[in-house]
Amino acid sequence: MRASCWMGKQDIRVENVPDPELLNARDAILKVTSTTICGSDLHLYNGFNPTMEKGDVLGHEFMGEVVELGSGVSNLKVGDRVVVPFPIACGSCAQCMAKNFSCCENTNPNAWLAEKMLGHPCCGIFGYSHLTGGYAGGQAEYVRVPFADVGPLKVPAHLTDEQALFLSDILPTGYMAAEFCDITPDKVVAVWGAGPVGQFAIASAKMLGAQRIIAIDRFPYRLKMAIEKAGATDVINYEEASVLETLAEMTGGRGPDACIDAVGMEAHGHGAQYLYDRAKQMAMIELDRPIAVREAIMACRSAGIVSIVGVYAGFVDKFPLGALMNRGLTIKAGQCHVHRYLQPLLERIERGDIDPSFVVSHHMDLEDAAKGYEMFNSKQDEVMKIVLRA
Amino acid sequence: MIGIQTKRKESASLPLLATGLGWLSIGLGVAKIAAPRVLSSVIGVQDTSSTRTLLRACGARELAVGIGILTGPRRPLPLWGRVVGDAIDLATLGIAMRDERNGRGRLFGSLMSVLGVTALDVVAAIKASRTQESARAAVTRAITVNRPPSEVYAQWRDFEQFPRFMEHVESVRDLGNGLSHWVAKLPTGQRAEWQAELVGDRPAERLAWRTVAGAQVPHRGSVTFKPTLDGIGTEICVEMQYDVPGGLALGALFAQLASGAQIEGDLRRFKQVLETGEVVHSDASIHRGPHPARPSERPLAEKGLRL
Ligand SMILES: NC(=O)c1ccc[n+]([C@@H]2O[C@H](COP(=O)([O-])OP(=O)(O)OC[C@H]3O[C@@H](n4cnc5c(N)ncnc54)[C@H](O)[C@@H]3O)[C@@H](O)[C@H]2O)c1
Ligand SMILES: [Zn+2]
Ligand SMILES: [Zn+2]
Repeated sequence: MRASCWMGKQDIRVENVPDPELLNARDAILKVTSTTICGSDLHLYNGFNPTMEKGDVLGHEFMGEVVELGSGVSNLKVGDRVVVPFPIACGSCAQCMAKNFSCCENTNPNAWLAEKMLGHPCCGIFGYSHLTGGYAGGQAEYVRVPFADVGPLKVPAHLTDEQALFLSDILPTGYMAAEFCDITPDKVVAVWGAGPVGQFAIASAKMLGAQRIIAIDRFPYRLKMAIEKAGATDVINYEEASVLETLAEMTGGRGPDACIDAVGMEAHGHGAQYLYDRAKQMAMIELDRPIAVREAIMACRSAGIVSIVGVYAGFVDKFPLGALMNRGLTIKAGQCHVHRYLQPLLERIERGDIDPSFVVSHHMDLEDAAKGYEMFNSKQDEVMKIVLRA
Repeated sequence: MIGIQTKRKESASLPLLATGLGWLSIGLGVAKIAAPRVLSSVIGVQDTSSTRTLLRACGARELAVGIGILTGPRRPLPLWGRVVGDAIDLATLGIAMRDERNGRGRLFGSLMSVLGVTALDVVAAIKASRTQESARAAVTRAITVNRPPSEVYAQWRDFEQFPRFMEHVESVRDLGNGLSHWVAKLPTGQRAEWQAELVGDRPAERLAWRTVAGAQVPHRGSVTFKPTLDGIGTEICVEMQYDVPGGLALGALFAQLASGAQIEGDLRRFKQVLETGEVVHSDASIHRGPHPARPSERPLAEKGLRL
C-alpha cells in the first residue's frame, strides 16, 4: 500500500509499504477514506521528537471503512464506516475505567521509554513516534486499529467525511480545552493559537456558554476565521499589540478567567527571549519553546484556570512557577481523552450545534502528503486544515 | 515501578586492605607531586627536570587510583589500576638501575619495597574480583493490575502460561507437588534449564519459589498480591534474588535479569494479559531490534505470534 513516511527532519515521502495485518484479536483493519495533517505532526516534521525512526508511517487523524476484523471484535462488521480516536486505549485498565483514555496503561509497548522521559508511561498513539508505542499511522491506504471494540465510532451515513473526520482528534481536543475552563456565561476565555485546535477550542467555549472569547495569533486569516466561523468576540494580533496589555484593557485589568494554550512547543515569538528559547531548543538543552504558555500564565486572572492542550515533550526554562503558585492558578492539561467525547460531540454535530468542516481549507491526494506538510508548516495559501484522500 | 537494591557477599578483610592501599596511593601521590626532589633522593635516582616531570606524572596517577579505591573499596577496577601502576614503576626502576649515575643500593631497596606492595595489590585485586563474581543481586518491582487478588494469583499460579508474557522463558512444565521445569532462551541464543520448587503458597496473597540445587541460574523469588485501597485491583510486588552464575552466556542473562528491565517488561505484559486478554503489539514491537513504525514485511507465522 501507499503511506506517508517520515524519512527525516522536513522529509516526508509517500512510499510503498507492506499492507497491515491483524496482530491482536481485538484489531481491525481499515481502508482509510480521509486523513489529515495535525499541528502535532508538525512537531515530528520539524524533528522535535528524538524517538522517530526513518520510515515511520505517520498520521493519527483518520477515518475509513472496516475491511477485516480480529476474532475479538463483535461490535463492528466489515463495511462499517468509522472514525478512530488518536489515543489507543484498552478500555479495561484503571485509567480507561476512569475515562482517562489517553493515560491507558496497556497500549504503549515502549512504556519503559516513556516512563524514563515522563515519569510514568503515556498511552499508545497512531503514527506518533516510538515514545508512544511505534504504531503505524493512518496517512496510508490501510491502517491497523488495535482495540477496535473500544475506540472506533460508527459514522451515520448522512454525515460527510469532513464533518466526522475531526472527531478523531482536534474537535474533542478543542472541546476538552474549553471544558477544563469551567465556563459560565460571566467568564472571559482567552485562546492562544487560532490553528485548527484553537478554532475548535473557541467554538466549544461558545457551545459551553462563554460570552466573551478572545483569540490570539499573528495570522489575520486565522483570526478572521476565529471571529466569523468559530465565534470569538475579540482578537489580538500579537505582532501588532502587546498581548498582556491588550488583555488587561479588555478585562478591566483582571485578566481572562481562563486561558487556553492551543499553540504548543513550537510557539513563535519576538525578542531576546524567543531567540534564547530557539537556540536552547536547537542545542537540545530545552525541548520546548514555552512562549505561549508563559504568557497565558502571566495573563490569567488570579485563581483562574490555565488549560494546556498544546503539546509539550520535555523540560522548559523560565517557567513562571511563582505566578502560578502565588496567584493560586490551576493548570489542567493532557493529550485528549478522545473516547470520552465521541458520542456527545457526534450528537452535537447531528443536532447542528457545530459543523466541524468549517476548518477545511484544502483537499489533496495522499500522494501529495509532502506538499501538504510543507504548506501546513509554513502556513502558505491561508492553510487551515488539509484533508488527504487515500 | 520501584527501585533496585543490590546486595553482595562481603569479604571481611578486603575493605581494610583496600582502604590501606588507597591511602598509600594518596600519600605517595601527594609526595611525588609536592616534593619530587626529596623523593628522588629517597628512591635513589638523579634529580633532573625530566625525573621531576616523570615523578609528578606518576603522582597524578597514584592520586587518581587512590581516590578510585577509597570511593569504592570493593570495586576490583581501581585495585587492578594499582597493579598496572606497580608494573610501570618496576619497569622504570629497572631502567634506572642501568644508569651508573643513580644510587644502585637505594634503587635496589626501592625495587624490593615496590615488589612487596605489588604482592599486596594483586591479593586485594583478586579478592575484589572474586567477591564480584559471587555477587548476589536483588531486584524489586511493583505494578497494579485492575483485577482482584484471587484472579491475579490464579493467573500467576498457572506457571505453564508464563511464556505468554515472559520474554526469555520458552516453556514451563508443571511437574506437580510444587515442582516445575523451566527452559529459557539466553541472549546469545543458547538455552538454560532449571527446576524450581514452591516454598510458599498462600492463595490470593503470596507465592514464593526457589531453584532446586544444580540450577544454571540459581535464584529465588516471591510475589505478593495486595488489594488496592478501592478494593478493585491488586498491587503486585515481585522480589527476585539471583546468584551470579559463571560463564559468559549465563552472565549476560544474569545482567539482563538483574537490571530489573526484564521483570518490568514481563510484569507489564502480565498486566496486559490479565486486563486485555493478550500481549499488546505495535508494528514496531513485533521486531527484535529498532524498526520503523510500519507494517511488517515478514509473514506473521515467522514472527511466532499466536492469534
Ligand atoms: N492535547 C491534544 O490532545 C492535542 C491534540 C491535537 C493537537 N494538539 C496540539 O495543539 C497545538 C496546535 O495544533 P494545530 O493543529 O492547531 O496547529 P497549528 O500549527 O495550525 O496552530 C498553531 C497556531 O499557534 C499560533 N502561534 C504560534 N505562536 C504563538 C504565540 N506565541 N501566541 C499565539 N499564537 C501562536 C500559530 O500562528 C498557529 O496559528 C499543537 O501543539 C498540537 O500538537 C494537542
Ligand atoms: Zn492531531
Ligand atoms: Zn487502558
